[in-house]
Amino acid sequence: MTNKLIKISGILGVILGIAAVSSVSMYPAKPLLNGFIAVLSLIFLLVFFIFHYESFKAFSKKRSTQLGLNSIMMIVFFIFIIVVLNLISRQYYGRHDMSSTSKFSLAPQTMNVVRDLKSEITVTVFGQESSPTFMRAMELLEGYRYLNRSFIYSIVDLDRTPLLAKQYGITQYDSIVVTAEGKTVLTQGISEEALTNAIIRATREGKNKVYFIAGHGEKDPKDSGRGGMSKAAQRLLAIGYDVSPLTLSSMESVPDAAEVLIIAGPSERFSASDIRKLQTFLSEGGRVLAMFDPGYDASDIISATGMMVRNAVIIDKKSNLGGKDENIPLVAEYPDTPVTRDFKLTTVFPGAAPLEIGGRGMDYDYLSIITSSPESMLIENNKISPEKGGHIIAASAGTKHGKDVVLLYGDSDFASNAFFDAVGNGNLFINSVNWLAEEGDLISIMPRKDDFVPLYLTSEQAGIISYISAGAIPLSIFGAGIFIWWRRKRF
Amino acid sequence: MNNLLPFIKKELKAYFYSPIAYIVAGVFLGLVGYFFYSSMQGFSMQAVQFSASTSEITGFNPTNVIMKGLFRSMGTVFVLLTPLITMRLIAEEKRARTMELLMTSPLSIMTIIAGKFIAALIIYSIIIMSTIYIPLTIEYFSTVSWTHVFTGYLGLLLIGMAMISVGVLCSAVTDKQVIAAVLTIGILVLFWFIGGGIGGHTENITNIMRELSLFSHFENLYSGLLDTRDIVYLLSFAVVALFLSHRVLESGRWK
Repeated sequence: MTNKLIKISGILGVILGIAAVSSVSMYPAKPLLNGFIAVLSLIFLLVFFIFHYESFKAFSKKRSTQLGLNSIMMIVFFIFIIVVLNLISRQYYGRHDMSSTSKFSLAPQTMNVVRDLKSEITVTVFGQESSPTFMRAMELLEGYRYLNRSFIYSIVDLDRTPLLAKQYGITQYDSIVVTAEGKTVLTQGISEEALTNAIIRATREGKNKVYFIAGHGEKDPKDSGRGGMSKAAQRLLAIGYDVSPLTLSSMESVPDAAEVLIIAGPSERFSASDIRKLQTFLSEGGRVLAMFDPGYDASDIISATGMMVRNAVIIDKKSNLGGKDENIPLVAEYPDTPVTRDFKLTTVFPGAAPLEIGGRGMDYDYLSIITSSPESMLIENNKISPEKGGHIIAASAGTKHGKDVVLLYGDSDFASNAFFDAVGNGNLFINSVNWLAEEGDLISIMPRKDDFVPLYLTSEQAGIISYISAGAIPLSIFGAGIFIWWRRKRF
Repeated sequence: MNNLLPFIKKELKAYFYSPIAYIVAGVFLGLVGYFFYSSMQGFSMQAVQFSASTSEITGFNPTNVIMKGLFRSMGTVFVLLTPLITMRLIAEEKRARTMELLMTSPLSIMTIIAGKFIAALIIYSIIIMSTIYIPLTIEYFSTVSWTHVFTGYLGLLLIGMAMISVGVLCSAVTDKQVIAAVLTIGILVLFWFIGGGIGGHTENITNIMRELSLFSHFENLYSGLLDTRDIVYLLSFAVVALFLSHRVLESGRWK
């Protein structure tokens, strides 16, 4: 009876030991439970060991036991050496891109930027484990890491790391957070260009200066009310921008440090002197994010760019916020522009005005960025306009040979505190500022163009290939096997 | 070393005189031949469609589409076929009671293991190299990136070394060929899918599993990336399995 109990104690000890190891890996947040199982397992095993002490002693003295232990030690030691060798090979390694598409090679601009990194830089990519972009991120980041060991990266699944994502305000897959010397920069989309530019921004001395124009009834970046823009300002601060208000009338000119100027829904007209200062800023390669609401006459501010904000309101009976308020059109599809690339979130634009672009076509490059749905309509002069839908809500204009860019929205409320958290509005605003900040002096990496290498087969050629590759070759091998088997059987 | 070459020759003869190598080669070439034909036809049809398209097409070349897919298929097919090449290596010697003769012969255990491993690797390499007509056919009809093809075949060779070494180990632990084959398939399938198909419940475990996976290291090579870390890992995997085989045979002396 006692022997039976001791045997059971041994079996229980082993089972509980396995349970403890499994429990630790499955429920790491329950140390008390894990510890209890482990201690219980130890007690059972100890009981088993004490009662079988003599047997263990005799077993350990056997020659086969000693040789077995010796063998185990050798295996452990050998595997240890191999592991160390692999760890060393992970530190000192070489790689060479021999692929037909050169997909593991980085652009020369990126190589210069990454090689010049002096201090440690940390990159965190928030992706989706099963997506192709997750793999692409791995390939890309491994290429950066190979160029400079100060480049530390991690790729995490957004769904598995909600707390980390919340820390950076990440809500979209394929978001990249770059941290260097306490400065954090956020960018969107897994591409070499986006990542390299984020690194440049993160390592550039001083913060990227963003000014909110004040003094004409614009939305205030310090106002935390529904109509204020404190949420937008806080997000900009969190991702590495330095945000300040700027009263043009109190300045001789726009400060040189200004990266981006934001005009957020003014209600009063700009003075001639203010407009002149803005024009000078633009002519020197400045970038402006202008958001005007319907009814505001912005022609004297933006007419030079060939864009215009019409005095009309876009309504959408089918695609709108909550399906009820036609005055808040909802946008879910975007063209492939630098601002909306890989952007999949819906955005809403309460009381948005339509834009007209292309007035100065020869001098400017225009880009239509946000367009309302084809079912949307216009209310102009209190009447429904017969114009078809697909009205432009946001567009950009940049001179062909300069660096100045104006990104114009026919609405400022979308970025206000009331709507900033409405699905993708906040992200769109950040993307807009990021793009403008990057437009200035960051690099442009064109997507690698692979040669299109065709291969055409006629049905006759395809037939010959199928007969030879899937028929003649394997059958001849089978034939040789049968012949050898037959000969061996015969002789 | 003097005994190694004759021993390899003896093992190769055993392969050439048994139908199993021909069956494995025939099945493999039949499958790969069919995959090749269907992917060539698919590529040709897509090429016609893309020629008329105005949108930008990236990565559309025969090496990246046809050869890369075939390398992946070849590796996966060999997960199932390698055990057929390796199952008889030591298990058959044990079953036929010739293992005792080998162990008491002047051959060292290392020579026995190395000889059997190299012979199986030569057979594997012959089968793999029989597919060289595929890039040559593509070159005839279009153009092939030979550097990419080279890394693909290098990847197949290295993954073959790893798979054969597991086969040698499994053959060493039993005297039944079927058990050796099933055991080899089990281990190879585990190490093949551990990185992609089976995910860990934490990010770190997933990363470790990806590092341990044979497929993720092979994937880099057949995608055209020559990385010393992948080469070191695949070689280490083979060396560890061969060392374990050595220990298993050695333990037979004192057990």
